[in-house]
Amino acid sequence: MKTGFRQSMAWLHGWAGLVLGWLLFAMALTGTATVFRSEIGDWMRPEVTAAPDQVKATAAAIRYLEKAAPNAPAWYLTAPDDRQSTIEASYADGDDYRFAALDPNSGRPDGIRETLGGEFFYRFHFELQLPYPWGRILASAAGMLMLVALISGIITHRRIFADFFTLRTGKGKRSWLDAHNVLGVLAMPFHLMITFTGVLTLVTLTMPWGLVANYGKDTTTMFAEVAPGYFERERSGRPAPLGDVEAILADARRRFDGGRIGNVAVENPGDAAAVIQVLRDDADQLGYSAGKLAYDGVTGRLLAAYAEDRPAKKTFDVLYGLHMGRFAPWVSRWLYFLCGLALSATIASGLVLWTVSRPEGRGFGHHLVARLTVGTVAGLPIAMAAFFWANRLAPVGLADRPGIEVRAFFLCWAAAMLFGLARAPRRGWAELTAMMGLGWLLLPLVSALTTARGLPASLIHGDWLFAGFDLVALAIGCGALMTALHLHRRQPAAPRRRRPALA
Amino acid sequence: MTMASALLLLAAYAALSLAMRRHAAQAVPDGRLVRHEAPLRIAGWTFLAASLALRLAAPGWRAGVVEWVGLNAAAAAIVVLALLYRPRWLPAMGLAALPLALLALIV
Repeated sequence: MKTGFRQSMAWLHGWAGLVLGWLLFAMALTGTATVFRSEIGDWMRPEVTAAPDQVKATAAAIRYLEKAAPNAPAWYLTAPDDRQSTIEASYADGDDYRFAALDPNSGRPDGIRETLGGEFFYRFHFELQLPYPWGRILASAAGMLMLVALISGIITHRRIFADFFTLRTGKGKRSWLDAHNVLGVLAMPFHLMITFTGVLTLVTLTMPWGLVANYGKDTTTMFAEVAPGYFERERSGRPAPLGDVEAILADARRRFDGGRIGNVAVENPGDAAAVIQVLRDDADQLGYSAGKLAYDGVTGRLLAAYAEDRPAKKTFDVLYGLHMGRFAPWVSRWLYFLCGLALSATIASGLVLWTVSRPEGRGFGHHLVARLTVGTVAGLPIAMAAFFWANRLAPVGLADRPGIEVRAFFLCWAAAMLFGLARAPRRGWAELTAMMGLGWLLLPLVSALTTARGLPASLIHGDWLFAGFDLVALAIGCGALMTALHLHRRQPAAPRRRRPALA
Repeated sequence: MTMASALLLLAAYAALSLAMRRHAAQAVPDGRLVRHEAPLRIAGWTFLAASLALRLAAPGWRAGVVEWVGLNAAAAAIVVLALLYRPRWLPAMGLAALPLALLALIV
């Protein structure tokens, strides 16, 4: 019985992993990049330099929006912090919805290149570049399959403790299995946590029945109960300019016990009924939605204050916060990044194992899986490099500049997939990995040639955000090139073995 | 506190791996370690518990636990890599981590 159960779990693990494996790999890797979403955003806007005072910067941005978008029903801003220099603003403009990255020193968007920045990877991670709600539903389904693959994988793995530290190289399938196991087991708590909380973030979309049963179509009550402390009032129709925004924001900081401000919403700007809502920075605590304050935008009087205290909602906020990792101080942030890489590598090695462990099935499907894996897995880091290259090479001020960066990403990925389909897997791996190595290794050079904030300059000025990005790019590039060299050296064995079979 | 906790974890995983016959033979091929399985295992779990206790005692224990779980993965990964590339250095590495952890605690 016992072997029967394990075998069926192994079967489940293999197929659950394969069905959406390529998608899961893409979600895992873009999710890993999202750990540094703010930093990526800053690197992709090299014109912007940080401003020391987030209150002054946000107030300046609000002053700019008063002139630039006086008729918008509301402005939503993200205050700059130590990880992100720009202020992100969004507002409705007629039927359009506009996003703007604003300079923290001037509060204006002038001279900043248009880019999606780290937001692109963040959005792709759970929307997969598909229209709402299909991308989210697919991502959610993939997450659930990931959970199935993880649990069936743990059951299948007979020697979790005996093989805890075991990694043997140069032994073909055995080595792949070792790598898959070690990467999966060592960061197992992270894998389970990130998958479970990830599925949870989209749970209201995939399992809405609880909400439907309690609220029906009454979404207003639902939102009011899920997120109370949200202060709303009707436009009065009497125009009135905003009062002393800086004083309001400074007061909010005092009430957060010196904690930083995060999101700021200005509702009914230009009206006597204007409201300024201030949320606490989500980096200040583990739970995701933190304290909220609502001020009268004209007089600056405090209208409402709310801090979440309901256990169930707090639990959800903590689980959500765990997934987002915004609370994480720098050591934890790097651990999130490394564990995310481990998860991506676990999925990739699992995909390779699927073909390696089925040597008898040399049919069309087998070849297709093997070759698709090459292009998808090795192609994604190439596409990510291409996204960054496009950011540095596309001229500032070009029409639809963010779209060009995104197209560079998808075109390169598609090209890599075609290349992977066309080449024998062994050669495909070596060649695409070499391309990935070049793409990442040359990225700091491209950046140094096109901006004033290249690696030497940022090292001299102690600009650790830019230096860090470039150094990580160099590390990825070197690692990929070394892997490519290693794969290339092992080449000759393959054709010799295959030739007699063909003759 | 993070540094001390991380170093203790390194010592813990080094000890736990050396308590296993296969890895003991990799690190000390003449077999002198094989007799010390039980003490090594006890030491390993003790260091592990100590590092968790250390992190819980520090301010901000919620974020601390998350960090500690991540550090576990990193420390174990270092031991795996050591066993792969420099197995003979592992006992010394584990031993050196202990005074360094103490130093990190004091500084």
